[in-house]
Amino acid sequence: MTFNHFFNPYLVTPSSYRYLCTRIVLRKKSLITSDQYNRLLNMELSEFIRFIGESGYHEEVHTLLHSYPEIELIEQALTKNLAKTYRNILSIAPGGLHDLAERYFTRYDIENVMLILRGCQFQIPADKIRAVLIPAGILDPIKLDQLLALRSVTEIISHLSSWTGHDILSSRISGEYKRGTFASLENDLYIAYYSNLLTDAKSGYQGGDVIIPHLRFEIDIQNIRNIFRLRAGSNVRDITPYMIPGGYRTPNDFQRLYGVTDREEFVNELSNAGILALLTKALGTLRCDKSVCDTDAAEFIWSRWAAHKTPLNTIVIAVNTMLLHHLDGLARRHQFSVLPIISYLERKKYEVMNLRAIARGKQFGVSPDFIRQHLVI
Amino acid sequence: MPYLRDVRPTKSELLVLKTRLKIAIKSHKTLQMKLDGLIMEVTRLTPKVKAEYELLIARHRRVRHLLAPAYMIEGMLNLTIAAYSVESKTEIELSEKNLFGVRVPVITGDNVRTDLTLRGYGLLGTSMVIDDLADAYEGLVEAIIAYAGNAAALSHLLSEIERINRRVKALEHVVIPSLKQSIKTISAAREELEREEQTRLFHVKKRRR
Repeated sequence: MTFNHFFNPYLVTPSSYRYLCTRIVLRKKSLITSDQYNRLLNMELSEFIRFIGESGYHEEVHTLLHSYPEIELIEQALTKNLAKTYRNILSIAPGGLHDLAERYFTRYDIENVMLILRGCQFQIPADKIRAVLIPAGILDPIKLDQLLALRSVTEIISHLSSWTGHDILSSRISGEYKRGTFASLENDLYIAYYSNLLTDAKSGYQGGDVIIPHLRFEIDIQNIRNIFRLRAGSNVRDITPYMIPGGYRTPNDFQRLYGVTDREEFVNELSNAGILALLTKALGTLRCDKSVCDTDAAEFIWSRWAAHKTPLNTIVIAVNTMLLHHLDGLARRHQFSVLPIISYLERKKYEVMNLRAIARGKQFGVSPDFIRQHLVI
Repeated sequence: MPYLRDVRPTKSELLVLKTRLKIAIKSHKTLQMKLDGLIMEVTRLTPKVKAEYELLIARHRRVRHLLAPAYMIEGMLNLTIAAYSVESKTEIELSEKNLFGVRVPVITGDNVRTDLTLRGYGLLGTSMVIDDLADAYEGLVEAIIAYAGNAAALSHLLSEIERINRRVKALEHVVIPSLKQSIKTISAAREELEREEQTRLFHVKKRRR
């Protein structure tokens, strides 16, 4: 019997918040610390496997030990552990929090559903698709296997009638497949994902009003990244279909920013959106230099914008770290709300990404300093 | 160094040899011109191929440089998912063109560089490291196609130069000198015969008197 059976499905009592948040905080403490990351950076790959095999990933490592070679073993074990952790959270979250967790995990469902649709449309063997599915969402491995066994895209969509993105799927896919349909469908599903997340946050959860500004700012950052990507690799003029609504800046604001070629105007826009301040902090952290000021950050970001290039990956990671720290700060201030839960889910996601980055960095023989720049700690 | 050993010193043989010599000289001249043309073409093509090779190496280095961060940030699973999403397919066309009578391959690629929004993966579900890697790979494929076509053309031209050079040298140092030698020998033999005939006729005429 799961924990949420004790509760009214739509009622989340203060005690249930306290119970779940305490469990989550305890789990958060068991995540890998920055000291442990420093030790991992100096380990060999075999020592690394031993370390994660003795930590929270032992079950997955031991299960997959004979199925995959070293590096793939690590990646598969990490992914499976992430999926298991998320499913576990889903099983202990009561009532509305369960719904919120479901909403949060829909991201993985979108990835899985799109992968299955593409596999079916482009006739990629089911085994290959199964090998890269990440069953961390609502659609469990059994459901995903059923979908993989289906022969046509229409059948897959009709089997997903109870899934949250079904309406978008059925409205976008009809008749013969046209090139680019899946890409725009995927974008629409992600836009709906963010919209649903914002709607849920507004629907009366404790801490919902606090998480909204964070979500809106995150959407703005996501949009900024995407306009950089579009500017660097595309010739499209209308970028509004690729912008996520719901942030502080509207898609039309980003459309205007997309055409900006004047440095002052560009820097002012970023400054007004609060992104320049974040970027300054991120750049300072990355360069380990506290004297980095807004002008340096403006110069850095303008040089990439003017050259039609995307920002450096390390800067994006430093910005993610800043966002995560901000979320952690909010979670500490609002201890019995949805914030500790979301903060834990994000931390867990980044832990898996960090471990993967270290393992892959070791595989490619890059220096520990280079790997460290790719960690969100 | 006789070119033809068993040649009878007849007028017809002499005519045949003279015709052959004329053809050999003409061929030598033509082949020499073709050789010069090919060498000029190779001289023109070599820096281009060298630049393309250097570009190929630079782009390959860029891909190698981006591969580690891409695997570190996205992992094998996400990169595989992005790869499965790609809808644009690069088409490579093979044709031939004629350079001084040498058929060299021409390799062209279609759909090599793709717009970000037309690659097939969704923009919102992927990260910029995937764009950078896809862009780097497209650049590498473009460089490979350009280099492959011109390098193959250069290789064909060089082997043709070697072949023609051998022929030119053979004509210059073997065929033409030996034909000239044979013509000289036949001419000398014929002159000798003529002189013998004249002497014989002189003696016959003298006896009749």
